[in-house]
Amino acid sequence: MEYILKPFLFSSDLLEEAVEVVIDSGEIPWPQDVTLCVPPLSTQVTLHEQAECLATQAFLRMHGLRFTLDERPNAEFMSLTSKLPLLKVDDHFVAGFDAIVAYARLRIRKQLTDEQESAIRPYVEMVQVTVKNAELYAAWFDDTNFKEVTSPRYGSPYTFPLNKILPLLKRVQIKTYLGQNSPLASLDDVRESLQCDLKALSERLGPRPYFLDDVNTNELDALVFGHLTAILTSKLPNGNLVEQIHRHQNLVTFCQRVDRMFFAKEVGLNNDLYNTTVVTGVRRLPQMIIKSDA
Amino acid sequence: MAQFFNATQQPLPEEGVVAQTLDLDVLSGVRTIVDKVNLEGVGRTKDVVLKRECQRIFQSENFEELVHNVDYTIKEFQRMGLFKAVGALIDVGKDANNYEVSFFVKEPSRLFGSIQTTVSGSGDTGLNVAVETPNVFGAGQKFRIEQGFGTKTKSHFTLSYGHPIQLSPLKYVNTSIFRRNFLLDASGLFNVDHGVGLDVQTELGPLTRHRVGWEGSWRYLNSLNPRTPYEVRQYAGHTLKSAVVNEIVHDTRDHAMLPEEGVLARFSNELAGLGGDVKHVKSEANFQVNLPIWRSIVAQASLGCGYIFPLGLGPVSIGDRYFLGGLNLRGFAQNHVGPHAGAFALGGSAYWNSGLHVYAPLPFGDPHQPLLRHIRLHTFFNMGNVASDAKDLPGLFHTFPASVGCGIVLALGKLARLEINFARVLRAKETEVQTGNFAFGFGVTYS
Repeated sequence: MEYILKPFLFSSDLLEEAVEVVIDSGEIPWPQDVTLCVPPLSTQVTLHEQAECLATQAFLRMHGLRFTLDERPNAEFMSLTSKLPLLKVDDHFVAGFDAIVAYARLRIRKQLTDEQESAIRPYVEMVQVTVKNAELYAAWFDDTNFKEVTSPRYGSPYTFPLNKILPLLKRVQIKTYLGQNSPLASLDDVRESLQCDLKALSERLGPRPYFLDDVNTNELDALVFGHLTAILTSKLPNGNLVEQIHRHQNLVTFCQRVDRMFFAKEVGLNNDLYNTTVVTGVRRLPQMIIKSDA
Repeated sequence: MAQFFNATQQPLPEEGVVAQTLDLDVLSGVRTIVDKVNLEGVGRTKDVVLKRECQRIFQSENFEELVHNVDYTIKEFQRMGLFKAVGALIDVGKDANNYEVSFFVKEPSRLFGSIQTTVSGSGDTGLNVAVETPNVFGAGQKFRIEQGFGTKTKSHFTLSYGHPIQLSPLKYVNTSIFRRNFLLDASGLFNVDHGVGLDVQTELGPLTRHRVGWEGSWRYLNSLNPRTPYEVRQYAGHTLKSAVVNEIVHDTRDHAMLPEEGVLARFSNELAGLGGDVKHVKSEANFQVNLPIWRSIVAQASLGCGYIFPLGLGPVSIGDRYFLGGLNLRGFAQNHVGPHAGAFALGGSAYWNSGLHVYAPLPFGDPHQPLLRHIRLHTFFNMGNVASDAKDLPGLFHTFPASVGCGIVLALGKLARLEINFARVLRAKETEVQTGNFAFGFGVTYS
């Protein structure tokens, strides 16, 4: 199958491509005309894309950087490197969470100190590598999840037969990427690796409202919010990932807090964050319903 | 035998002169009975096919009809691609009124290959390799595989099967599978198409062709350039197009690229949206009139117009829109007339363009000599405009770009034109991209 599809592979967001973005340094005001282009978040976007889109939005909102959200079914192909989301600033483009954060940082007054930077860096890396790989595996590699959720969502803007072909093509790319970059071999591995990451994050967060201090937020907060919210609101039938997060109640509360603080105006965006019923067939944790206190 | 082929292969003007001096009125009075038809040189061509083609010769009642039918049969043989060369001989039979017709034919070799190089207006050079199997199953069927490579990302692959139809108003059926990669330079996009096509060709008259075709293609558009603007990028991505095309061409010209006389009228309609997500109706008409003035000096006038009506909610895809510039509006860069976003062309959903030319042969040599027939000097006046959508239609004739100039035209066979022009832009809006005064042009369509 993969051999047949190889000639049709066009580009992949997982490959690093060098794209030159000219960034002027110094104190530059945030431009007026800024558009954040994302796939339709409620119908089309898949797990890892949703994580990055939410994280980017959270980051921009946290720093009061204004943007208009533009939902386009072909957002992936509008992007330079196929990375999502795509930020359009005047006449140039920045794509992907990392690049957007690097770009936006030049326009933020409050910079992180070196000490703070080195404190959050390992966690940022961890979320971007292992949590992302876990998401990719769960959403794309696992047959049930792929067939029931990921494929219909990813193929939703297209007509037959493209709605069947394109998810398969994307799956081939992601399988190749995971084969080279990740040791994950089963959903149990995914759960284990995710549990490990969540434990580290949960310990780092502790009882505080945000990761670094009580008031200020930074890219780690945005990233953790994006990825965890994506997982919490995903409806993957297989893997029980939601339950993994609910084991760390402070992380769930953290996601709800960020959502209320920065996304409050958009009612209904992350509803699932509040009324997710945890599906536990088994064990220690009692079944619970998390309620919004907003 | 070889001499015979040489003689029949060349459409010498002397032959025509002889044919005209024959008084056919006299010949129509001569009753004829055709005894037999000989075919020499037949190998793999099927007997059934040949018998059917020769039926009409036996039905000839007088000599005039016989000559016409033999001529028609030769043309049919050529149309069906049965033979590489055909010659005919009408001989007397046993009695005075009895005749025998002999065809001397040469079948094409089983495998035929060709290699050609191409040059395009944007400076892309390429190589085309084609392999075909003429008359493969004995009734003129043909497989053809074509692969083209370009120095830029341009390339194409086509596998097609052509099937001629005998004694029917339908003349030819062609099916193909293709992959095409090409650039939309002016818009900063590249395109990858995969698809299948089916064509049925008929004849409405001796010089009028009719084509009905269906094409289903999977198109992938993506940006070529980091600076490609947002307005163009919104068309990027995958689309599925399923379209029926209906085309009628009436062409009485003596040469497709450098005509000296004749008229061309072409109407084409496309309905996209029978499945797939590209939905529009596209209508286009082109006319060209050639008037010989004196000797080989020819005046030519042409007019083209087209309109796309979107059927869905979304705008018409950039891959289907109209662009002007280059050989159809000289003085402006290829595809660079019309709505723009920055330096990138967006194309439009309506256009018109017109051209007036006077062609003259080179001042030395015989203008009808094979080489010099393909070279002409010309002066031109071009005008045209592209409108982005229906709201913009009144602006089409309001301030339209126009240019005037002169140059030299080289016809590359009957397939393409190569031009070197000195052009001056008379009027332009601000959005177009102009070429310098001297411009080099290459193209299949022109006006």
